[in-house]
Amino acid sequence: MGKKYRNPPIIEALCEFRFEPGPPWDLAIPGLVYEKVRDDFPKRRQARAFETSISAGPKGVEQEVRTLYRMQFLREDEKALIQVGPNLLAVNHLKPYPTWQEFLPLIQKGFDAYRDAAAPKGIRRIGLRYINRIEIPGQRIELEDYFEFRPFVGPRLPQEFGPFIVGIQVPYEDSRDTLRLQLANASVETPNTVAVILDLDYFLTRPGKVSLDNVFEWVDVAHSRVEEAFEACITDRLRQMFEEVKG
Amino acid sequence: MPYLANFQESARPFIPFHLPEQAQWRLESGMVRTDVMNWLDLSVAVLESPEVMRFWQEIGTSIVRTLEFEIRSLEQLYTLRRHAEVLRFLERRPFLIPLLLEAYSNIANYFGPYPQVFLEVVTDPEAPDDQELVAFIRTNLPPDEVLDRLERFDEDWWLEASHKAQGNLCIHVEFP
Repeated sequence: MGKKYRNPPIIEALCEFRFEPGPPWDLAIPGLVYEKVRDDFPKRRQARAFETSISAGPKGVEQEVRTLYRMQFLREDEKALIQVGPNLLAVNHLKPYPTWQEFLPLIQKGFDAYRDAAAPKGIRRIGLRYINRIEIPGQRIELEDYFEFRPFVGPRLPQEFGPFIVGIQVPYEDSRDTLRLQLANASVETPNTVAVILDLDYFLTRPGKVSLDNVFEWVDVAHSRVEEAFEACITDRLRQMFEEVKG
Repeated sequence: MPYLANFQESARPFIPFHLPEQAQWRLESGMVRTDVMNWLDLSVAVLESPEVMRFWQEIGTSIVRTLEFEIRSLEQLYTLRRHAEVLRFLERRPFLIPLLLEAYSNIANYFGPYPQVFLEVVTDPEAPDDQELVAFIRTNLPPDEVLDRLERFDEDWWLEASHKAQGNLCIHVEFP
């Protein structure tokens, strides 16, 4: 059981499944999923999404941004939603994030509905991702006061810096899974503060290595890994700002 | 190693997904194609390892990352007046973003390539809660020519598309 905070910095938590296709994708599938989740997610809308790729072509290196469309089923307060697209399911929770015990049943509901409606053959990728936005008072902060994971600037470089981004990928379970960890500055919304995004994404690297029946064992382990990594990324000073709830 | 917020405010937040001005919107295929060789910030990294870029560009199915990406894309096309105010307006009305992206290429069709367009939140002085976003197309064209182009723009695209704005967006012209 991880720590609980009165002011958690999570702005979004999401669990994403990419499936091995089963029967050919049918446009009726989102509707079938909706029928199974509409009690909790009554609102519907179509949303745009982006996928990017970089390729070398005859005109040089090119970047492509493809626009995709997927259906979103939203809870009445629009803070939680299920997204469905071809061979794709995502369950998102925006701020305020409740607890894992409350988020997990939403994931299970979405997964069961998709599995019943689309009959996928298997799992290609699962990802559990937590995006944290951390606001710290001040115009000039020492990152090491707040973060155990941060950019390292060698002593022969200028020691004051502005925008930054740092990230690593960490293999787990004999490289079956990966934790992607990223820290970057963010746009400031509150005057006299600095804002930082800490993005943790634990995902299945090897397609097919988790069966449809064992998904939630994987998800539970993923959550523990993300929680451990989050705590390892921050210092006690940040924990104090988040106000730990004891007991 | 101090991190300086002031420096950040004077520069764009570092999000490695800035489309260069030369980016071309291809609405018919829902695709942006751009020559990343012109992408000065990161062209070396791109040339050395596309995988590196893919790593940082992950948007996935995140709602906040998608919104952030769309807003960054908008910022490549439009100039935002009172930046924070426009962002707050758009965050509350995300359905405007795809419309604005579509609008830019239509504006370019009628007012020339790479038009300078400003976005500004305008408040009714007698009803402070009554706000709308206005896109001001800046042009040096003669006024008669501008009116003619604006009329064609309205008839061919905007009158049909404007319902998507749900009364939250106006498009005007302005002269320098």
